[in-house]
Amino acid sequence: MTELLQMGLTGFNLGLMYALIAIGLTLIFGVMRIIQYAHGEMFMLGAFTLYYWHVEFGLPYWLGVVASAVIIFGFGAVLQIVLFRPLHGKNILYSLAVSLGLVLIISSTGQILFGTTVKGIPGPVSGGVLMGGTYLSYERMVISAVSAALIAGLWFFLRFTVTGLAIRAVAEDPDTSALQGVQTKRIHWIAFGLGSAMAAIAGCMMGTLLSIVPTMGFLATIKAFMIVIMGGLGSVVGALVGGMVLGMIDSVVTTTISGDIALILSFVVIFLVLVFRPSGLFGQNWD
Amino acid sequence: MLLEVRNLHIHYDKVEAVKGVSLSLEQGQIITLIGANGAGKSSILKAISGLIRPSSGEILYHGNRIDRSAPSTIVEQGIVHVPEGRRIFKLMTVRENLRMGAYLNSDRGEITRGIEDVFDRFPILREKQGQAAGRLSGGQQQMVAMGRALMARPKVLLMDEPSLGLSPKLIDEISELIISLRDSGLSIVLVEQNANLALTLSNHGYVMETGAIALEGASQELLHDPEVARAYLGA
Repeated sequence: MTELLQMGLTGFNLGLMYALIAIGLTLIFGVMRIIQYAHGEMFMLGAFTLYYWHVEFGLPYWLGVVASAVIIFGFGAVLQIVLFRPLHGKNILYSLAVSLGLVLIISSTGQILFGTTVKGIPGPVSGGVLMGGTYLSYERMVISAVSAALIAGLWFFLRFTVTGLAIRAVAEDPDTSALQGVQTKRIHWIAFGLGSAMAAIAGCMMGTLLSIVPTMGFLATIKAFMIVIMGGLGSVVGALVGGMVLGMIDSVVTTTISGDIALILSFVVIFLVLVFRPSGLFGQNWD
Repeated sequence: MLLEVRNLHIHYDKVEAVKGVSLSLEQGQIITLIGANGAGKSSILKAISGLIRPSSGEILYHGNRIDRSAPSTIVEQGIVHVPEGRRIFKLMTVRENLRMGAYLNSDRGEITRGIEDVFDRFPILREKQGQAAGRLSGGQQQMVAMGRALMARPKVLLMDEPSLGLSPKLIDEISELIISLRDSGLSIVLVEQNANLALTLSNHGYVMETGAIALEGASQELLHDPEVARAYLGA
């Protein structure tokens, strides 16, 4: 029983982290219809931004999370404007090649700059509470609450702000959005920046809860794609649900069996979902 | 002249879709482009609203060239395009669709009033305002598309096949709406395959064939032209 609670909580934490990365990815795909392979690299850069900010320079933790999100937002927006905008509307293979190139460039540069040793980031709060024999750390609770709030915040942003509406409109029909007066180019860099910032925040969580290395982006990208495809391409709710499912599988199977089996089992679950719902859990197929 | 198209050419890659078309629209008028599928009618509307760049020719609005402007600038000046197939945002609610129509307006009071006006015009949309627009019937979706266009407070409406897929009763309603909009001072460019309807509603007609204007004139005259009757009116 206590073990179950512990696994559930870890799964919840991991799930939120996965959901953050996957929502970012689905946002970028939805708006631009590009496959952003270097999304995991944004996750990694976000983690190392917080690491340097908090561990190396000793600056406050939460401000570091904000700084990481803002810096990676800017980085993502610049990448979109400089590299992806000129390729927009052309063969999707071009942007695919660019994003694959970015993976190699960013992760190798990361290894040179940050070194290859595993690093961790001490959390913002310490202590915990013993509940029925299970130790629940405050750190995990706070981080869960903050990331859940961020996801809810993004949902409200997409639902109730004009820019949020425009992002959804461009994702659905760019030409018709332009006819309403939306500057689609502006929406592109905003969505790219926002998606990257979400990955960066997930990276901060990763560094605090687990550990980070400059090569960690690769697996993050793969998992994010698995989640996005399972949840339905372009669907924020799907990415949230998919992230939680994957987080739970990861936590439970890793604890009871092993991490490798967890990864395999995740693929099996996604495979089954796609067999029965080819457009994903929340994929929209109107036409 | 309110809107003028001069010697417009449009290419898709190497294929010439529009071959030197000239049109003019006066304040408070309805002009119509009729002709078969693929005659280049929709391409002309897309060029006016800035969705595609013409390869040559000029488009003038109040005497100023707009053929190099972005769609957002063009809609800001009051030229609003209701695209073929309605193209409403199916995943968004009816209300959100209407809100998107007023994207460039930041006056909340005006937007709320605009939405109320649309609901007064199409009461069924008030009932369905919270539903995903994609779940509505074809006729209701056309109302959303029209309502969204009106939210932009247009001066010129570019309407692409508004009657497509509608029942005769709904076609009558749309026709009445078009006439009432014209009477309220709007100017309209109407693209239609239903030539009879289009010529009945409009002041001036252009008959297009494979990218060029084959015939033009007062709509009443075209309606009684034996050539037009044979080719387009099914007489």
